[in-house]
Amino acid sequence: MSILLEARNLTVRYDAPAQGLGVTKKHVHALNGVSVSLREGATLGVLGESGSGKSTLAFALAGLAPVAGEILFQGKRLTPAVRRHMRGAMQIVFQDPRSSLNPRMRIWEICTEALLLSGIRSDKKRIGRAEALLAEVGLPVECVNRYPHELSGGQRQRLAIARAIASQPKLLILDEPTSALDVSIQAQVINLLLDLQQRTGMAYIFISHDVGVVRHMSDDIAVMRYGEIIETGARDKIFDAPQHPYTRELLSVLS
Amino acid sequence: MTRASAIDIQDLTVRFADDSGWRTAVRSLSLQVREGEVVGLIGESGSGKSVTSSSLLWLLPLGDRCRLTAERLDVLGLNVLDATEREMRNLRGAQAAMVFQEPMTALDPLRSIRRHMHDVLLAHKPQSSRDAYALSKQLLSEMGIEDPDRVLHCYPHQLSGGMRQRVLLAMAFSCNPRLIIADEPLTALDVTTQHQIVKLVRRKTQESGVAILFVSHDLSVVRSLCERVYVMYAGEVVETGPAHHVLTRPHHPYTQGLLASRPELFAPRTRLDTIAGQAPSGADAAEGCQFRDRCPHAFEKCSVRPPLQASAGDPERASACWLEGAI
Repeated sequence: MSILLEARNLTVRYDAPAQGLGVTKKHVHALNGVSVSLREGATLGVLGESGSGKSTLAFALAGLAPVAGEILFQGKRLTPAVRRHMRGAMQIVFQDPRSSLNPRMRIWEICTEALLLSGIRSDKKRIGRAEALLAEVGLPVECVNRYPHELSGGQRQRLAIARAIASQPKLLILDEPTSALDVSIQAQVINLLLDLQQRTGMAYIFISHDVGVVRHMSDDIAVMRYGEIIETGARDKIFDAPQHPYTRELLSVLS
Repeated sequence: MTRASAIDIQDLTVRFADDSGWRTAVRSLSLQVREGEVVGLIGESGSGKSVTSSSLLWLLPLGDRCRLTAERLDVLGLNVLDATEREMRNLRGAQAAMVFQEPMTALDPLRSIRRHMHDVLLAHKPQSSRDAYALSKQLLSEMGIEDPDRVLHCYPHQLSGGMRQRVLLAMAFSCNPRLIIADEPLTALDVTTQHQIVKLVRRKTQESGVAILFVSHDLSVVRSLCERVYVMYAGEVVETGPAHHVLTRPHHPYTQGLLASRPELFAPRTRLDTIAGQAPSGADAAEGCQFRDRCPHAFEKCSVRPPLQASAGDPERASACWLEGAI
């Protein structure tokens, strides 16, 4: 299968707060020379704890963080200009569906806002498309005119997924998509993501701190710590024979 | 030997009013935590577990829109139903501490961590600020914080979620309370950190005999930390018993469904078993078993509410299901 995404040597640096007068600024490397590659239709799981840089990686790939390094998407080098013309081929779903959905927009507006960019402006068309999207993610179609606060946590995450797939992306970046959900709802969302991937052939970058969930979703896994990838490889290789001591520590929690 | 009870709740019902009428958040709930015992309260969001734990220290907005009734509501021997504000002040913090789920809203953004910790320490025990600083430092390092001096000078926004939650835990332990009510205290933390803190909390409970009501939705943490567990669904306790037994061989269909949906049990990239549908919102408070619409075993009798009945094989266990012991 061909390579969908290739990122080389990504570095994101933030200024650390100055510790006193006259002290030179220090930098924090949120991401330090990270390289990943992803095949079309495959899932790369990114496993790490808070502060390991996994969300920064998601933001950097999605163009939401100031990043140095090179990202190739479908063979093209991603520059801001190229990104603008990608028409949502890469989309992102955030962890907390309460803060990532605009509370003042109706559900049909939320999940079809991206369509405005591709020239679909009539409300009627948008509502029709929204109904199809809701059905696709397992939300009752009657919801189109409601507001996000009327939905439960799991439903809101389904809505965030509907919004992300509206532009029929090739790559979905999922930043802790199930972490804010209850156990029984988490299983439903996992099933939805697996179904969608089978139907559409989207590739996923699945970011989570939950070892069990990452194992379940991924073909390949990258383990992150302190802004670097410390170990990467096929899922079974990582789980059967982890090389790095930190990976072993992480996995030991499962047993 | 029976230990004195740290928490004794009998027949607690809490209802909230909204524009469409009354919603029952907690219904006829009974729960006991003995001194020195670590008890888990498991449930999904909206199941009423936080309302239950908040009721213990008068943290509910009681009034026209929130009503509480109970046959008994005792915390460390104090009848909370009839207590005075003064008695509650003595209880809160010094004897019964609370740890909240959202570390960002539980800490004041305009105060440094040092100020937070000093406030707690000085409010309950007069001491020099030098002593308070030393004690704060010690409490933070016990929570696995490697550079307590730096953390003490930080403001909440400068710390990660995990760090903030450790600060809250350190504050809860700071006055050597006899009871800690912890509402999802580990949810924001990393797995390895959780591990560390679970170990620490276990040691602390053995040393100091503090009782803990541990509210969580994380089954594995509860199993490794708690002696007994209560499982809540839609405002009711549906199952209770020794944590290890309930969470390895559950009797109630809801607990069974929860355990069966964990991804660890399935081959990678296959569909998981799920509990169909979602929990009722409490508005309608339908008659009968609240779980019956989602239950694979539901039958005619489920239109009558099943009582929490002791298991025939194990008197320490109980579940609220007409099929108790049969499935």
